[in-house]
Amino acid sequence: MKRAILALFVLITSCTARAQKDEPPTPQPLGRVDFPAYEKRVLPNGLTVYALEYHEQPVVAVRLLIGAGAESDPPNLPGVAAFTADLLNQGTRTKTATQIADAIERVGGTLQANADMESTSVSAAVLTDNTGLAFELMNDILMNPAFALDELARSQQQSLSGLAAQLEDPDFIADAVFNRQIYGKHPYGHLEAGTPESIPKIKRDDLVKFHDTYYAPNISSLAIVGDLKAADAFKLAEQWFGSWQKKDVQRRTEAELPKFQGRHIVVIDKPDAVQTEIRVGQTSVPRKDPDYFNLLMASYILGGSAGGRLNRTLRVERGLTYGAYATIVPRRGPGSFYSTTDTRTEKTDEALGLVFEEIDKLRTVDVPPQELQDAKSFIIGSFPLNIEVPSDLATRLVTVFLYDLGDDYLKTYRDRLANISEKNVQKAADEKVSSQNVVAVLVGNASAFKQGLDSMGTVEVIPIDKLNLN
Amino acid sequence: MRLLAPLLAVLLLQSPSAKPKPLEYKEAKLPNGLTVITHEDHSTPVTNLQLWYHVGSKDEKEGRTGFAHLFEHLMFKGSAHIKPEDHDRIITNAGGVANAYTQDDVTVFWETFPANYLEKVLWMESDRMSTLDVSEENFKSEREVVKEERLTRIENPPYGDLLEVLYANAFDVHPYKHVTIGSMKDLDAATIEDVRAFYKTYYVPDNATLVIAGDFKYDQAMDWIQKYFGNIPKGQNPIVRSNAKEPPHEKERRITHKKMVPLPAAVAGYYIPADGHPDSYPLVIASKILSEGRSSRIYQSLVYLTRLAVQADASGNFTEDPNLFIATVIMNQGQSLAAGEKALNSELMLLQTEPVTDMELEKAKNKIRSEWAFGRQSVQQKAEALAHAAVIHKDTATVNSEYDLFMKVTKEDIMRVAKTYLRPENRTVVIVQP
Repeated sequence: MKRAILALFVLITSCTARAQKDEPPTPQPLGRVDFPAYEKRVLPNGLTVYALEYHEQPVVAVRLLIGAGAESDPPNLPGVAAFTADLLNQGTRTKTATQIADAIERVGGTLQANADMESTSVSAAVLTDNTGLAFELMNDILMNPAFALDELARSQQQSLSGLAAQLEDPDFIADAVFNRQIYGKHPYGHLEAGTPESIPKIKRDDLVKFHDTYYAPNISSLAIVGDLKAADAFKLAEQWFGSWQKKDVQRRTEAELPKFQGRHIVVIDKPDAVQTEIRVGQTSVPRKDPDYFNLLMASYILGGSAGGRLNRTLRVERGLTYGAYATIVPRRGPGSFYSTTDTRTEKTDEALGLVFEEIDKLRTVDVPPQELQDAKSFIIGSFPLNIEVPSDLATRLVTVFLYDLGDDYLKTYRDRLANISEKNVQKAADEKVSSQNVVAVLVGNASAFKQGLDSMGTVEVIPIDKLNLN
Repeated sequence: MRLLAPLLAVLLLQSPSAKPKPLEYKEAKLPNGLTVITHEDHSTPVTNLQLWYHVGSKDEKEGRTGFAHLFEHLMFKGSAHIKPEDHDRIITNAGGVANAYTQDDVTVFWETFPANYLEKVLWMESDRMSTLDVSEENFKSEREVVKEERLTRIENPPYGDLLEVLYANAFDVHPYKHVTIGSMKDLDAATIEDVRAFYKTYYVPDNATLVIAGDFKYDQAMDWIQKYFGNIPKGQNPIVRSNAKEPPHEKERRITHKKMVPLPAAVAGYYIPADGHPDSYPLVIASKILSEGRSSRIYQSLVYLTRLAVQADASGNFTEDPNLFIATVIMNQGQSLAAGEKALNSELMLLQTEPVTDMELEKAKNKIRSEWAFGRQSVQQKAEALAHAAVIHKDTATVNSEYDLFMKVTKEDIMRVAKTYLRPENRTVVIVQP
């Protein structure tokens, strides 16, 4: 409405406005869309298997998720889970790295392995007539990895060079420093891929040990989605993963989280930067916590889309940034809730101040019912968009397993979201989100904006060449 | 193995060759010149709509680089019945996703949404095609956003401006010499009068292609399209397209770019013909053999065996007019750029002097085969493939017929195109050192 009374309104064309176009058509209600039917079985060795038939294209997507990742790296040796996963398709007892690549690429398929913070994934996608090959290769790289010394050395060198490049990228630095600040010595705070100091220290034995300890069927799940019958999918699962030995997996004990009193502003000084990367936030609740959905709504309202409050204020109203968003990161343990944006150097303190203001508003001012309704409509309405292709379906299934969300989760979560009230959201935000006891990380040309920060909290400036992510 | 053999036999019976299914579509032209392409897919209650305007950064006039992209942003700033920012809001509140992008040749607006929103989205797109309404204030504030986008994408990341420097040096005449984002100076020079003229000339039904793919009934959808787009008048201003042709370059151009970077890097652009040219198919196959996947030649020789590079690849940028085949190398720590360039060159030379192996050719074709299946699963992928064929190839049937052109590529074709295009004299090289 503010814009409607502005005098500077310029009409660009004068196309005839036709009467029938004035009223927007009202969409007819969409019938309820359910997650496609799937079957679940737990093999005797504890492996949870999902099979979902998809016949639109002659393709099969297979995803195996092991419920252990970088959070299980040995203390002071970040990167072990990542290297263990990375070396899986770099050679087995009977095949070299190049033979594995050749075998899968020859049929136009893909075979990937990687570890993130809480899980390790191996996934394959092939045209249906190569389904057997996909399982054979997945089985081989999971059960018989060679962890050859020269492959490890090569992979370490690649990672170190890649990291050298990333450590010049303000976006990457901001994320890395922010996570280290909010999690302290907790394993969620370290770099999943390792640090310049840890990578050279990783030995073959570390990978063998990680593989022996954590690659176990009883903490894993296999999703098979594609143009094949569920019964055949289960046969393949049984054939290739049925004899995988169950293990007693001991989890690493988690460190205490740091506590923050007041605003802790950390500036990474990069004098050649033309923009400042900004992160503001704190640790949050685990994925299974009853408040998770309330905070998910809160993060969506604050900055889950281009129409979120942060983007409206910083981008639309003031042209300070290309984008400003907020998110809650799901974890089995404590997640994180943070805001992210970037702005030209001279606007740094203004942008940071606005982020703090928006967080405060979320905590203290009642959420308008329409805004909550919009957030729900998006999260619930986007459901059909996220179940279109086999790889998405497979990911959704193994995610239910990873966070132990229960067999009825995909059926019931939309109803649970629909029942959230404005009070639920505001209470959760007030209790679990803060603009006062919070970490802010800025990566940019510090001398140009540092003065403006002093009134906002305690400021620590770290020159980029003194950055230590260990 | 005993279990596997009979099972595979069953699978093979179900889908004998696993040949990707052709994309079925219908095409129509409204009296006002709007091209309409539809593809019905009832597997999920989701529809994707794409509106391709045939205008991109290559159509910008002198001194207004970046304008086509800036204009794309303004399309979200309100029309007769939709307030500024409401376009996004309406789509996201329905659970959908809306966005837009600008390239050298086209500006594309798209939405993916629950199928019951089709009529509403058609109405919204027709509203901004016919009655865009941008205030001076919104124009200026959005220009700041675009300048921030330039900082974020081009100026702040370590290698963000390498391609900009490459194109500025590789092209003398053709407008591809400037990248889509444009310069800060030209963005600052743009005026609201430019906005008005650009809209009137290019954002007209006879310069647009509307594609919908997803869960709708054809007759109903066409009725709505007729209702909402049918009486938008044709464009009044003639569309003058640049016919600039880049003259052949006789010798290599080399540029040393000054910028702080963590690792040495080189990027080389070789002049190649346009998208859809008969030589483009062997060039695509060549790029797959060179650098797609870990068994590819460049990955093997530069990244895997010698450990010279942390990243190396080569592929064509195929567009409406002739563009570049771009080879990139970023060195590993402690490795010299000279060694990297030499290794990359010898891979390109080898393609000219020796035929690729049967296995390499088969592998590359199988990759195309699976791209045809995996790359056409979602309604968005399908709509994009259709629109690309219609607008860039000017022949929607190529969405299916190109498959056979790829399958027909021979070893001789690959050698011939490598000799023709991947020559040192035919390239521009930009190097950057820490």
